[in-house]
Amino acid sequence: MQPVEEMPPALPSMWRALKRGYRAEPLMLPLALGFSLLAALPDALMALWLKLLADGVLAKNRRLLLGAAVGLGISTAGTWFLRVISDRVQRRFRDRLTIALESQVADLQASAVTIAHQERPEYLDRLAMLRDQVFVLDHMYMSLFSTFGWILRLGVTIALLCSIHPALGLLALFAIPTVLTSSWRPGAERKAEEAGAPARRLARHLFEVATTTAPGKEVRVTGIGEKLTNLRRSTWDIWYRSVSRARWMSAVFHMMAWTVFGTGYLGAVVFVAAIMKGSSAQVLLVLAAGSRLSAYIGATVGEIGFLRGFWLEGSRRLAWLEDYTAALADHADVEVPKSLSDGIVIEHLSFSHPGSERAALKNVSVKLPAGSVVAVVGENGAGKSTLVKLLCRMYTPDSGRILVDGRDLGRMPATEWRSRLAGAFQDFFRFEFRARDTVGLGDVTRLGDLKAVSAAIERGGADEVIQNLGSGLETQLGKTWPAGVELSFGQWQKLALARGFMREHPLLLVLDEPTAALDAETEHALFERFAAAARDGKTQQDGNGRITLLVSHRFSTVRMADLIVVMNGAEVVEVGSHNELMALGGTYSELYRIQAAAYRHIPAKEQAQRSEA
Amino acid sequence: MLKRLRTSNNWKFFCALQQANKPLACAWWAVLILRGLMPAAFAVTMGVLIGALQTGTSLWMPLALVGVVFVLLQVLSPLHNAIASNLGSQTAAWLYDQLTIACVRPPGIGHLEEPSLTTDLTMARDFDLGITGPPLNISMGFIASGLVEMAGGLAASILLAGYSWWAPLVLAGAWFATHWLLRESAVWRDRNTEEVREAQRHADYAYRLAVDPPAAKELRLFGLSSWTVDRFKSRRRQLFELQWRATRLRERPVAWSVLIVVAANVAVFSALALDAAKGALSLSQLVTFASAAAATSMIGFGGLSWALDSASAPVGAVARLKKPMETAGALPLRNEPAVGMPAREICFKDLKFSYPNTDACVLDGFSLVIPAGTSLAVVGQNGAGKTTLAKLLCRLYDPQAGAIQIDGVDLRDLDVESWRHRITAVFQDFIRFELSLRENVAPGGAPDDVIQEALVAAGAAGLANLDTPLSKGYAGGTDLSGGQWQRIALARALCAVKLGAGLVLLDEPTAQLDVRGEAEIFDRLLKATRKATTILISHRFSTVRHADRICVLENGRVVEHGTHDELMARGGRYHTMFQLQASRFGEGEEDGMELNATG
Repeated sequence: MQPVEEMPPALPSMWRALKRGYRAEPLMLPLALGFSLLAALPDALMALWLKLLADGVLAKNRRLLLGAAVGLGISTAGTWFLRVISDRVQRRFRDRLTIALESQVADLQASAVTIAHQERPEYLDRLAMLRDQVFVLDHMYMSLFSTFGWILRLGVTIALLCSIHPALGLLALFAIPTVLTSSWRPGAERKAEEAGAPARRLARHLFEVATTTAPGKEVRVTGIGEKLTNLRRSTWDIWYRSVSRARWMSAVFHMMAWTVFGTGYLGAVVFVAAIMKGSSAQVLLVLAAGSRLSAYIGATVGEIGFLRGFWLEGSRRLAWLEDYTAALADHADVEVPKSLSDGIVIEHLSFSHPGSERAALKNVSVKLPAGSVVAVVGENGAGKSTLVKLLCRMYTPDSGRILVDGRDLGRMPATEWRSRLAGAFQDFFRFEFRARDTVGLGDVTRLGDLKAVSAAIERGGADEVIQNLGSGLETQLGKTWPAGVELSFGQWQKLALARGFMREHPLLLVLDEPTAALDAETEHALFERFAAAARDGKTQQDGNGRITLLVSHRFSTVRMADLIVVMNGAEVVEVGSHNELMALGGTYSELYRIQAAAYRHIPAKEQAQRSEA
Repeated sequence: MLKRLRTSNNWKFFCALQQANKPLACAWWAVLILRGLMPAAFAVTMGVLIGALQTGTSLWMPLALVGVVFVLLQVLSPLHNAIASNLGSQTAAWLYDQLTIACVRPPGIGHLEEPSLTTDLTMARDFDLGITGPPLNISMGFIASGLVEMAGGLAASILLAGYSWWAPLVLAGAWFATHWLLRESAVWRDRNTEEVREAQRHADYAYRLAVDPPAAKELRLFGLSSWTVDRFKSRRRQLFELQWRATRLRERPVAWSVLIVVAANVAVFSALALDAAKGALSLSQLVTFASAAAATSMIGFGGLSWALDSASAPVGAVARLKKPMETAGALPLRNEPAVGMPAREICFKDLKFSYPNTDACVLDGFSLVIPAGTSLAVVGQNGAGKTTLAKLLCRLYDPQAGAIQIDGVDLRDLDVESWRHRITAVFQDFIRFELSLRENVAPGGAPDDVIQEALVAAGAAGLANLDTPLSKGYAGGTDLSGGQWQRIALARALCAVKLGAGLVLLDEPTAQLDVRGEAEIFDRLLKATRKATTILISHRFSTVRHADRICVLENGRVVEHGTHDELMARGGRYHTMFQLQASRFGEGEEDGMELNATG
């Protein structure tokens, strides 16, 4: 089993995040930082004004008194004003940055060459946060800026304290326990969170089962609604127990740390008032500055906690995702051929899903000749879909290679290779757009080309689906959208097929069990069309040597293929035409006979049994 | 006014806190108020200490006071944080519970499909994922600090009343004025307009498309990543622009606010200074009141109050949803028991049905009698209404006209639960519980040996231990292939039959099975459900022909009905469809496989 790689270290990740922010918003970033520093100043001077006020009283200096009062008034108002403004500037900055970050996360995940990150649980866990909480990532900039602001305030305040007696600067040392707990506890809380993650995920799953439409049918028929409700809550409680315990523990540790600081502070006041025999004004400065100091330390460590708890994690994950996708990026130095003359040769291909010990493909070698229809058959789990995905370059093989007209597929740019593919999958996605877009997405360059869309719809046998829609091609699909229309499974499948037929001259057409839910007439019409298209590909002058690869359990179709590849237990066991394989009398002929028999007479004996019952 | 307050989301939000966890909510409020009192208390103790210094009396008492208040000032906030995040989590859980119950309880299913409810439902369903804002356990802390500030400012202004009656009025009045002047910038009022919602939903959909696994393959095959991301970006930008325009700070109100606040503060502080200069205020009093005056600023406008608003929105949504969901999912309930049904027959009488909010008639004059204990296969094109038939039998909807009668009793007169006890169904999109194998086969519970038998009968014996979770996402879990899942779903139905279900609905039960699997499973399935009434929906004529009777559904009504042999003999629709599939076998077979129509 391949181990999961470590995430990049914290500080470099943070630095990369900062650079990312600067690249996205080179103007707003310094502006936002500047304002948060500016907002720190009048606030930090409050203690000084208070001291001057006291000095004025003690010296009976009316002008000093009035000056300090005005200073206090303006400082108070200024603190507020700058806070409001800097809040706005930061918000604007964050809003813009959020879009940039979310787009980047979306882009990285959507364009990563392979799809292992979407299938491996370890990766899924790691990505869950990036997927659902990108807002945390933009929060980190605000957090970082305010940290700078608080540190500035701290500096000013400590300077004020030192102006009374340098020893008072030592007060900052009493804050060390708070810094320690603040940097340790968020990690501990996160660990508790991770320990409870499976329970939380299960609770979410149960919640979705209970609240979405499709499972709603079965929930009602089986009458498990109440059980689901209770199970969801008790599962959630498992998560909550571990997380809340960690939170309470954090509170206890933080409180102890702050008590230490409080004691130090009291010591400072006693030192100035009783030992130094300082003036009232000096005591006042210690009182005011000291209390400010604690507020600033509290805010700083709070922000650091946030940083550690959320955005450090977030930026590490994002940095990891960047590295991960970059590592997958092509080292492409081979061009995709314009047409196929020889075909696709698969050589000693082996693959096992990351995180799984079982091989999905074992040493598979087979040639798919140009201009042919190739069918892949085999029982569930034989590796058929994996083979298809490898041909689409959605996985990187563990060993072996695929040659397209003699050129190594692994060295071709994946996106370009895929632009020459077309097809449909068994687990197709229900794109909930207008019907024309749902189909048109199959060739995004001709998305608006209604003629092309209509042609694809015809090829996919979906005319009737469109005709039955209230607004035809303009109909919004998907029940949850305003004026959206829900389709049946089979109707969705026809649209998926139509989408698969949008590209007109693919080199490879992959059809991975695309007709499982189709009715007999559509299925039949489709197969006739495959066969015709295949013949065209061979005979036409401008034929590009297209290969049609069909995965199917329907032997009625499979037998029409030029070449049949039989897979069993991750290996190719038989290759040949229908007649050759029937003559061979192996796995294929056995499976074929089973299915053909189903269309013959039902033996009289069985019929009798049935009617007796 | 009071009524508006009561119906506001914020009010509902604070009520929800109480309902979610009363002790925690009370603690949250108590600590909040205590924290609010601290700045004023600190101002007082400062004054007391300075006073003691001035008069030269013993310092121990004032110092102890300063110490206690100061330590409290520090330790209350981590305590409050822990309370807030736990309370936030509890409230989220409570909301989830409310929503789950609202979804699960109605006997019908219309409330889950009603388009006018889906917007609220989607928002409510995803509220705590942190997609539109921080989850509750975080925003509770933000809400708390906002309220602590407000309470602190108020307490300080009350303290200031000890100086003079007008000072707190002027000062607090000025700070409150900022709220009023900047009110448009504080809350995004138009966040529920159609334009905003639409941008939000499109942005979310495009984002999910890009990052979630289901679309991953096609996104790559068709090279859609940049199309999707661009779509997301433009909608998202639109959304932020709308928000920014609605809540930006306007120059004039800001200028007025600054003017008022500076004037009020300078006035109060100067008055304090002048009185101190006159000797009317001692230094200790001056210190206390000046600190109090400074602390009053906490009342001021604090920026966009998004935390409370975004936390309240889902509470409002859940509350709004409850009633209409109940109505939309309601069925007229009667309580005739359904024990032992169907004993004689299931009879469809001139059934007419169209889905709510659509015009298309899915069933239109559908009539059919199914004798109890027999099997019926339903065939027809995609969208012909086959699955709808199954849904109506489960009484997820009631027909608009006509009736379904079970042993002569109208389905609507039967007790829903009692009737559903009699049914088991394998739908095309059956549930794949991320739970143990045991719970997948018997979600409602069953003895282990019954579960094992069902698994054996469905050809799923030895797939996994009964305790194994059926998802890789959990410790010791395993992933199943589509075909294996299908066998689990069949085992679920068979287990229900063993527990006494009398009607079995199978909607494309073998679509994902391979050849050997399909051939083998049917014999077993038929054997296991022999005593029950079975309705099978399938496109596979190899499967369909096993049924006692077959009905061909077209345009919402029965066009052919009879045994396989009868229908083949008739040479109608069924014959055509069967031949289409069968003819592709055996053309020119050497072994002369007989593929005929009449049987």
